[in-house]
Amino acid sequence: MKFNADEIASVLQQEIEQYDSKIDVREVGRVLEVGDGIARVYGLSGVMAGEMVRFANGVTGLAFNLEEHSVGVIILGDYLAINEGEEVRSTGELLSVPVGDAVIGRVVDPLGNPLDGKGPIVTSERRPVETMAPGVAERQPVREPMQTGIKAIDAMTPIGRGQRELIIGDRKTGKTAIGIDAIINQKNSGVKCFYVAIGQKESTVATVVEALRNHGAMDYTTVIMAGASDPAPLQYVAPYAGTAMAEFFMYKGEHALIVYDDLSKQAVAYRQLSLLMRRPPGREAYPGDVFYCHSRLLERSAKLSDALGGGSLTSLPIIETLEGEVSAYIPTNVISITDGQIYLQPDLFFAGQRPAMNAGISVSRVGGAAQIPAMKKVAGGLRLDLAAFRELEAFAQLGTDLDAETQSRLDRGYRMIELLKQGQYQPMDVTDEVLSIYAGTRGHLDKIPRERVAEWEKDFLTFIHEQKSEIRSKIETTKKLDDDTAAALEAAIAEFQKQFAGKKEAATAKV
Amino acid sequence: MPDFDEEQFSAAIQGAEIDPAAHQISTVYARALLAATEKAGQSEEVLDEFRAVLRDVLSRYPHIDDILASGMISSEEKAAMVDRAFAGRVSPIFSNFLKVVTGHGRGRYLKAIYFAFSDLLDQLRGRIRVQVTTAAPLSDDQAQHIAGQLRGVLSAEPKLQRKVDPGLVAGVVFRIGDTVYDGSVSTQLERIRSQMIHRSVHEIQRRRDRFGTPAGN
Repeated sequence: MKFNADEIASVLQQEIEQYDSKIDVREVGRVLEVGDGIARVYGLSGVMAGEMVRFANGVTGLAFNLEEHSVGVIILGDYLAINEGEEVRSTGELLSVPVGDAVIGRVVDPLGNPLDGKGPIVTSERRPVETMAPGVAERQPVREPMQTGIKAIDAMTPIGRGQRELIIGDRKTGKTAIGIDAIINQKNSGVKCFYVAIGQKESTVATVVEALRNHGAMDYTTVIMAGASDPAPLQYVAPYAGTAMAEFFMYKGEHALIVYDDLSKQAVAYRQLSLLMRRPPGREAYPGDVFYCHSRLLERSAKLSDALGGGSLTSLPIIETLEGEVSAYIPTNVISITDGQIYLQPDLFFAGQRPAMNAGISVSRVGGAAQIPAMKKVAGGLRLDLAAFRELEAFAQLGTDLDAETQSRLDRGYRMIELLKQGQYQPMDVTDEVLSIYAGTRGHLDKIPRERVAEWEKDFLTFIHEQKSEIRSKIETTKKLDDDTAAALEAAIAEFQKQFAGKKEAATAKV
Repeated sequence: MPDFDEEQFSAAIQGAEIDPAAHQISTVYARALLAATEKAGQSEEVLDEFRAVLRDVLSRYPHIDDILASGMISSEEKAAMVDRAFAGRVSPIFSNFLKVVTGHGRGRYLKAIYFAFSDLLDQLRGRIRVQVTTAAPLSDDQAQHIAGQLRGVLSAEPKLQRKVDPGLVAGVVFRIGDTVYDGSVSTQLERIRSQMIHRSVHEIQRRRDRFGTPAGN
């Protein structure tokens, strides 16, 4: 880039001329001790709880504990460069992060500093990291769907805009994949996405960013990252910072989606801070206010009233369980705060069912209000049917003779399980989901061999796209499945069944 | 120059002052001592004696300090020792105070108690301790002038503690309690520097964005 030296000189001169010397008034204290991400400071007698303080080397801190003779500060940055006896000054401000369009498409740390090497974030708009959640009068019930593009979720545990749906499961069960697919599926929907990575390996986050970029999702996504090697205070603050960035769009009347990956690591970081600050430990050594730590965060997700613009913030918190233990402290806390949970199980995952969602204990407390009418119609009793099928399947393994009705219910169940399998990074359009699930629940797949269900579905959707696009566009525009469309769809399926049978014969003939 | 001496002295025992536990204990003793001396009307004399004992005895013979702080010697013995050493040489109030402190096994907090006592007395008399830092040593005239100015602003009697820090380049920094009023050139230079960097960076980025896609993508 070429620049004009004279221009710079004149700008500098202007700066100097315009500089008015004000006396710098500050309240100071002295560092008494520094430990893992925390410092105790003597002085700072007028500091407020949650106020930002600045250390001599420029690192920021947050007044966390106000005690009689000292102030406990959490250090948001490199605590190794802070020495005992150094000056600490209060700033009179609360911690805030840059918000707005300037952060979209960026990878930032919890303080809003860029990590992606794409230059500074130029914006004058900032929002405090901790804000009060909207109250009762400022909200309205969730009513619009937030399509995740995952058949199993959109059909059985639909998520609405403004909802908080927990994704819970053991390690390596595809929790992050659901969040990422949901983000990828927001393309062209105008929903701004935020992915908060807490305590994860930097390599994992790099992979996620790469995947988002490859699927064109970084154009509307911000990644907020506090890695495993970042100090605990940053991991603790990260979800609040991400929420502040997302809230900005909600209060502007737009829609936002935020994925917290994952909140159990944040709870661990908070536990570390609290123990270092000598707050009394409670169950599993977590401090007493760890519930509040999560509830005040998740309460900020909301569907705002029309008077406030009707914006929404949907959140997908992720919690990692150990050995499927959902009754541990943090999982029960977050389950009770959220509006439902998607429970992922390792045995299903290894049996090839991906997403490995357990239909029986996964729920969405918003339910049908968050589905388009067509989906509501085709997927109505699917969740309960599948749960009943799982029971029946366990029973059938005893090897007894089954009557015809039971056998047919088993067959239907196996086909539905096959149909609900979906690869990673392949979110589907909601209309396609309706078509697939319609075919499955109405029994059109009962005669298809289990291993060919995926192929059938793929060919069927291509068939509808290419030859029966009027059915598809009707559902897409009206979002309903009326009797006429259903009849046309039945006919189309019958036609396709013949084609598919022909293809099958051709294939066997070739072999 | 007692002021300057005290400054050095306080720097040497800073550790004692900012230990929160010591602070708490010493405030209790200091408040009791102040109440006693005020009743007798001898606060200033006791303060002088206290300072003299710390400066001329305890700092000069550190092992006396160690003995007073030691747990190996019983409180009674320490109290008797203090009695033999100080009785008759200092005012009865102060000598009694020393006996009480050592008798309760708080001998090692003497320095902290001194500072708490001096702070409490200042508060009572409407005096405020002001730390003045300058790049070059202040002349007495200048100090008088500053004190006069501060008297008007604070509506209290300023007690100047002078400090020299060539790193300030020029200007004055006042510290009153936990608040710092910084009129130093070094701070202003630092501020103008960060302001310039900040604005230039934004200017450069804004111009770059005009040609590229926004948000740096």
